[in-house]
Amino acid sequence: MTDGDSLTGVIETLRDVLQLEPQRPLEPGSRLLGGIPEFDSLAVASVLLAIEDRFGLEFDDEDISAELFETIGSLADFVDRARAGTGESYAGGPVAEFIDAGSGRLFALHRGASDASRCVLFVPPFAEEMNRVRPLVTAASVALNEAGRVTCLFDLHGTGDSDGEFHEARWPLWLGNVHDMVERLKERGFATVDLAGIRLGGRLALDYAARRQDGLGRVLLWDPELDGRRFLERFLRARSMAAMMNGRKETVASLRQRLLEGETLEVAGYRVSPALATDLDALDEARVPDGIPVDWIARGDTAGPAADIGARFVQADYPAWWDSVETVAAPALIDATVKCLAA
Amino acid sequence: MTERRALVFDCAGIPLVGVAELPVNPAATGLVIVTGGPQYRSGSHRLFTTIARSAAAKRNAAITFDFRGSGDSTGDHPGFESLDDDLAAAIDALCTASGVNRVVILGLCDAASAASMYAARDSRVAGLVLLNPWVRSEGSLERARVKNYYPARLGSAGFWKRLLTGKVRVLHALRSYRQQAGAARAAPRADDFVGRMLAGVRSFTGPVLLVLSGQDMTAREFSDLCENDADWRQTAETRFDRHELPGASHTFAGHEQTDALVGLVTEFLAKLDS
Repeated sequence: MTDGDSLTGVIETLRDVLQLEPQRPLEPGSRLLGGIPEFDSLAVASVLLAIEDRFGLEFDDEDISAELFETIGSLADFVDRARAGTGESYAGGPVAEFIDAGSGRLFALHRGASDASRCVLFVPPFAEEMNRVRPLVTAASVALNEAGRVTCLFDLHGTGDSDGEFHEARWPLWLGNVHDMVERLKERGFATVDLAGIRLGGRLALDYAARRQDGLGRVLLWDPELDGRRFLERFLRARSMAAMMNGRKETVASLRQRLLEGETLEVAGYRVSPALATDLDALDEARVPDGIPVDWIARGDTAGPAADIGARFVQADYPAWWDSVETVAAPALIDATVKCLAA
Repeated sequence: MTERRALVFDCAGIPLVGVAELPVNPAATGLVIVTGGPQYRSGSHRLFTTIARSAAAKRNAAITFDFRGSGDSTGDHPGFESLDDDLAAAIDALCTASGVNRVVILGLCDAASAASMYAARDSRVAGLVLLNPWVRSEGSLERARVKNYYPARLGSAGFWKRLLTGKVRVLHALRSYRQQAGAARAAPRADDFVGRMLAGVRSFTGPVLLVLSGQDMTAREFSDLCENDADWRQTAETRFDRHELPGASHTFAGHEQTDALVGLVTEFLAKLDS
């Protein structure tokens, strides 16, 4: 849970509510009751309400005592404790944390109201596509929250803020990350976890659902990349093109050969290990697992699903965000997502 | 030992998401990393996460974060010319979490521009790391192209073919180059962001590390500005500790380039702490 910013927040709230002069020093040790003349019983109530608003908290009357208001530090500690309590129940704004998983710590970001029984877990796409989709996941999460769903976004091992390096990634390790996240969400009281798999993350979500379905609701795919071999080739092409621009010749076939021979290759700054390449090559035909409904959202100009895996196909009109270096909005994708997951 | 902490902190009522690296016994200077353009806090190929972790390994506390309307943070994107509140909030967050009270701001591309405009306003900012600062105007791009791109292409048959079929507007480019070369000699106006950057850097008293990538048009435009504009030239000569990484792309892709950059940044921090 956040901690230091409780103090900053409390100090700013006090300044606002009590209309204190900016030059008056406020520190953790500053006395409140008896120390600040403006701090009377009416002010206590106003400050508490302002703190509730600011941090999305609700205090119980029995939690409130005079000791809380001894110093700014004691009040900030109280807020810290109250906020730590809400961390698990997702009241109010986003909660960011590191989760201990089998492969190390995973970064996770939760959004949504505390009383939801169903959580949508986003399974991120590969390499730079993960960076590009970030604002779209934020927008989709906010929309899903409004429709009563709690959401969770996490970083796979070796990506984003999670532990490890990209070149350590293996497909089974990433599947294990999905498993650890689903289990953690179930432990926290969600009866059902839906997976929203993005691009190659869609393949990961399907593979996970094919293995374990306990507590799993629906699977949603955003423009899934189901063919690992083809996806890898297209990824390698980025390096091949960059080499060409610099007057060097590196064919996709030659890059593939180097991977086969055990070389770790850097593509657009991402180090792809021969092991991960082998994993991607070895992915068999994707399929919809029995008993799990799967929705496949694709861009409007797509003729149909690239593979008939038994998913419900949903078309929407939005740009190919994964190819765009600029941030793009995709309201139709967000709408379709809410319809699929929170209808 | 370093604690890695996920943070949510307030900026004008919007919760910003960040990750702080908190060494147990931190050095005096913290590092606040600001992403440029549409990127989120971890950066292309995790550049900023790598820098933050490397700084922390040398006992410098560090934070990466998403400003309003970017990455994991909600709200409306204020634009790089108006990032002051977001920068202040991130500095608050790092200082409170780590206990340090002075920081270096590191920014890439338009975040370097934002950092230049902000630095002198906050006494906690002890240094700046500017990576390929963004100073693009219509003219600066044309100028950098004329100077760096077209000459390299003059030997190519394809270039002449496209020129003759009108696909390269070389006259247009040369014309605007001439205009801009004239305009660049005039003092920058205080209301445009490049002027605000210059004013910001000039009123800032701490050390400034400038790192330019060799394979990057944005870096070339900045380098041209420092050559052609008298005020920038003087500032560059007297204020910047300037380094060029000839093989580097705009985002310092590839572990050799990333390592070289990390080396420069950690050295810069160490010097401030010594």
